[in-house]
Amino acid sequence: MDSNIDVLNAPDIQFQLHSLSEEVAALKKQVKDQQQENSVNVICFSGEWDRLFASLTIAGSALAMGMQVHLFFTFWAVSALRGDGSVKGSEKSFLQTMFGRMLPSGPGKAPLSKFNFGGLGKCLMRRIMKQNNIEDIDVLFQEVVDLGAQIHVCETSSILFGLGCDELINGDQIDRCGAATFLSQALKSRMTLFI
Amino acid sequence: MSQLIELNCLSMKCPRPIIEIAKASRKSPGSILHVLADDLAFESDVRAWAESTKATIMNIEKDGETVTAQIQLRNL
Repeated sequence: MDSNIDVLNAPDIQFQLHSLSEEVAALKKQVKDQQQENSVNVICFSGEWDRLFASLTIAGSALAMGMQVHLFFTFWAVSALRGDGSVKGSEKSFLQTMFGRMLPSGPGKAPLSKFNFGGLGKCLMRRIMKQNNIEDIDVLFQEVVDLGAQIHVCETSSILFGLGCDELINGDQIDRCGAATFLSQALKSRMTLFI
Repeated sequence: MSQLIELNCLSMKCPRPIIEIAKASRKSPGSILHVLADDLAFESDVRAWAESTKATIMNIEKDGETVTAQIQLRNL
């Protein structure tokens, strides 16, 4: 045994130790990367008032519970991010302008998915909400933004519906992103909802 | 002695009471919150909120639909 100790040379052990500690550091990093964030993603796909309301209610509660919230607006829900400003744009095609005219501006203007009856159903629902002190969707949306929800908007959808940065509510705080951004966020999060 | 904060959430509906509690918790961590609410979802929601934010519910009392909750907010 004694002779074995003599055979072991110090630089070799040091090299092995060094490579082992590097390996441990890499593994630690890997574990850290795989750890899930305490965050919730909501894909807001539907531009309907009731579905947006559900998304925002969950987002507001999640923020209150100390989670991070990422709201990804795509397709019809993109219109919920539109401000009341003019929809005319010099860079827009005729079709994009027409789409813009037909789409609602902001969450409050969105129609119901059921019982809308040309806006009458929604009007009645809002009345019931007011009577029962249920919060309006615009107030809820602002609250969710104030509490720190990160809002992402699908770039392709905003081109499709002809939405420029200047037309979005809180345009400078909104991240224009693509599917890869969502996927990478979804991999890190505990929960993803599609509404 | 912890600071005592009164929060009136009467007639507020979900998710507003929880949002108000969260705001109070961010503003004055470590204090004791005395909340009054009458939303039927409140009792269940406040317990869930406390569990996930590591706050302690010291007491919950129900008087008809009115719920009074005493919460020890977590220190940051």
